[in-house]
Amino acid sequence: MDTEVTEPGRIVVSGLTKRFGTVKAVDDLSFTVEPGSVTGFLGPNGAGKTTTLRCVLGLVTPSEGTATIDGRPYAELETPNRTVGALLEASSFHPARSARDHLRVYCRVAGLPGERADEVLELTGLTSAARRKAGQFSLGMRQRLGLAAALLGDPHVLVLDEPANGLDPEGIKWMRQLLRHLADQGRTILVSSHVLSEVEQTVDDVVIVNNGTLIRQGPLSELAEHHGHATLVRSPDADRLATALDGKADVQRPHDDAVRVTGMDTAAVGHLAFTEGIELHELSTETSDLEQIFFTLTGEAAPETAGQATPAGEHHDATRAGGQS
Amino acid sequence: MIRLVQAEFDKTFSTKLWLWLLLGGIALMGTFMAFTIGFDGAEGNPSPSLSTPEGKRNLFATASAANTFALLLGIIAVTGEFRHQTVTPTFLATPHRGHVVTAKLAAYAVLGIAFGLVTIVAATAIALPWLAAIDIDLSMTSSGIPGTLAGVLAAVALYALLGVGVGALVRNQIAAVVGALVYLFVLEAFMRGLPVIRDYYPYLPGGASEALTATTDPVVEFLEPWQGGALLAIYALAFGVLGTLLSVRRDVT
Repeated sequence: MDTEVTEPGRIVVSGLTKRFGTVKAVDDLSFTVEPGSVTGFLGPNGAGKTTTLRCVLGLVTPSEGTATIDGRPYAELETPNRTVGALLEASSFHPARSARDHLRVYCRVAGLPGERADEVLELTGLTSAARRKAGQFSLGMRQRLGLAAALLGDPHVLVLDEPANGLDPEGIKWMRQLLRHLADQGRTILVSSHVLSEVEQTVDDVVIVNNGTLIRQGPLSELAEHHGHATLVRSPDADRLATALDGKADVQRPHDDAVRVTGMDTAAVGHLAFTEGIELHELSTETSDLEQIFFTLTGEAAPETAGQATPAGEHHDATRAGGQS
Repeated sequence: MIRLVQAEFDKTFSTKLWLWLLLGGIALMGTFMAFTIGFDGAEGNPSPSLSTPEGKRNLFATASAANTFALLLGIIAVTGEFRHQTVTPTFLATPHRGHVVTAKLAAYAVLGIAFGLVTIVAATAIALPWLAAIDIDLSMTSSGIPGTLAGVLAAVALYALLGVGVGALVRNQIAAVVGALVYLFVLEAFMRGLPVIRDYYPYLPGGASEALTATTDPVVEFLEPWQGGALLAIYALAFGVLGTLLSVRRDVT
């Protein structure tokens, strides 16, 4: 596991369209995933993430466009299990087959020694459950078994669809560390999620999709810089402050006594309040409210304040009261 | 390809299904055999007597009771992959889906022959002492019995292949299993029993299998054994090819 991976591992999705009947699940989607990084593939449920990943893995035939790994469609990879590891459904195993036997089947197909099954079971913390029937596994253990299967061929590309599903906080932490470790070895990791906060601490780059189309691709840090800063102010005279800020910054009113300011420095907000003689009870910076950005970019209303949602596209209008980051 | 076939054996023997199906086939064979011996020479039984070569061949042809269970084994081998979503890792490991079906056909031909062999051994173990007890002479190498046993092996293997083909075509496990059982035990049974319609029965898989095992029936005239074997092989291949072309290539979502 600790060998350096030097092969190229670029995933290229180009003009990908997939129609199911009259429904366009993916619509002219293009993006690239680079080796050595963890890329978060983000979007709300039904955004076309799973369909895209299944096209990349050759399980679904695109209506138009291509998806390649190492410059080839999946079906043309010579040793697919040694090139790409994938985790898709939470349970793709026979419930009456033991975890170890399940993995040994795929060792056989890939021409790997049967002991490799024990190695990945160890790596995913399932050694003690290796001989138990997989049908008795908890959701978290199923995810671990799925990940074990993905790692079987020591692949340099990993494609993981919602791997954090069903994991407890400790499991999510473990998954983060594992993905980080694997990416640091030079592997390409594409990990999908509908909840940004799940992968926020893990990913280097993001590909955000909604309704089957690309919303944004780029480094996560850039996303935060462009959209991340907000200042929360509490004041008994919040109305007057909002009026004073009008035209200078984007203003929201999460509560009667609060103003949320984006597009202006926290210090500048404080200074403005001081010069206007407005009494403040709180002045704080919300630095990394990525979940908020994510909701704004994908045009989804944040769950807590669905009623106050602003139209999609007005990126600087934050829509959620109170940071939860 | 050898690795893929071995992987199919690994899959089969890592659950207990094969054992239950094998025992089911032996139990059904035993039931058929008990009826055949128990009602031998009974008044109104038109079947040939066990003292004739035809009767002895019919007795050993009961080992083709394993057909049904080999068919189910083949069906479940394919539909189980879809039911438990193991088809995802299977196709990820072998993106060329035709190779997966081919490996299953090869593996289940071998397993079908194994089912047939075990059932024949069980049939012999029941028939030899029982016939001796009722003073019927039996030589395993005469009365055309070797031919019937070879026919049983071929029929069971071809039914296993047919199962793989049916499973590839009808990916829904419950639909495929229920459909196969209704076909075998209702539709074919009716066709075999009804006048006029029964003229077509020899051309169905059940009739082809009976031809293959050189069964003699008072009212139905079967094809020659080799013709029955060829016909059954055509059914098995047709389902396998159709299943691969029409169904297995579909998106796995």
